[in-house]
Amino acid sequence: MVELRLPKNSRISPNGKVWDQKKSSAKELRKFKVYRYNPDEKNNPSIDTYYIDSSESGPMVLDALIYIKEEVDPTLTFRRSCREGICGSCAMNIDGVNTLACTRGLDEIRGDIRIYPLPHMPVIKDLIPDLTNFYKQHASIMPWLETKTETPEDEWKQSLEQRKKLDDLYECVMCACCSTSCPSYWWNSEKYLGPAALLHAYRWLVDSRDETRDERLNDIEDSFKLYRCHTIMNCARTCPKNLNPAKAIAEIKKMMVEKNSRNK
Amino acid sequence: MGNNLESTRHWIKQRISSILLIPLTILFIYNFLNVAYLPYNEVITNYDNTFNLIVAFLFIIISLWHFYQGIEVVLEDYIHNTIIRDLTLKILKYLCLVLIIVVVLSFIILYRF
Repeated sequence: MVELRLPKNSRISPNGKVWDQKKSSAKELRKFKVYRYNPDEKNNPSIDTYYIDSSESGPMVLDALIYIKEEVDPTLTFRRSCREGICGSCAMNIDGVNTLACTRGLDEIRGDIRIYPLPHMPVIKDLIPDLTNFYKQHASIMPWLETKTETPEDEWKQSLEQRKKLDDLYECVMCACCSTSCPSYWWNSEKYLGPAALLHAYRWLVDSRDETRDERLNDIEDSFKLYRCHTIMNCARTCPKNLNPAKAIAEIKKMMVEKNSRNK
Repeated sequence: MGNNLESTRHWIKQRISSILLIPLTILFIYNFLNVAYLPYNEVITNYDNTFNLIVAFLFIIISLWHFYQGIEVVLEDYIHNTIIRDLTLKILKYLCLVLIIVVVLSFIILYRF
């Protein structure tokens, strides 16, 4: 059965630490409430509170987290890399929304800044979720070009119109914001591929150079892998790259109908 | 719901029943509101009209069909134990069938008498 409450050892304890470093000279003091969990300690997760002068830290949430790690609490753990919304590493739940910490400005958030790891995923430490299953699902849709004809000497060519079909699909950085915001994915993450993997599946289905469209469709034609999408649209709402995985999934469903009527 | 082809068929059937329910719901509610405050005999007379009778009949049957399709998906979402899920689905299926039989008999009685 579906679990509506967190397991006992995942519930947040009220024993979070307050890192009180309020400076009287602070120009723009912001209060950060950050989820903390250390598997080496046998304690439940907690929420630590930090007071940061955003005029010193930088304009983005990631700048503030890096500031906290460097200046206040070196034990705070999170993923980050490119700092400009390209790598997808710093995906987390900020102010109740899954997004990239590097592209979310502190000025976009009113009041306290609440930072949690991506929801409904096993937490490795602090803000780092375990994405093993997510990447496995991505690999299962064969995110590469599959061809049957002989490889041309120069290159696989594509017209401008054919290339245009990949726009708003190829930009996905696999940050997992969409999949972890989807209630269907929360309940059935082992079986449902989730919006991110399905968006990538569609990206290869509409690629004019790919020659395995029917095989790809057969692979994902399943009541759980594909049809768990109930068009809730959280994926499109939360995507930090403004992509629309729900639309891609709807297009796959249309392709499925076309394939089946063609093969009758 | 099975896998592969059956999963797509289920999705198509759910869309078909949804589309059919749009005009049927409007017509059924319109008819229902027309007779809602009338005495019993006049309500029966209203259903002497074959069109009204067919609308009411199709609305109830397709609603039950759509309900079963929807609940099947909901149960698949939330009940992970396949034995409990299949048992619940079977009970619901028979409940829907009983309701359909009751509806068919009621309409036959309404039409004949």
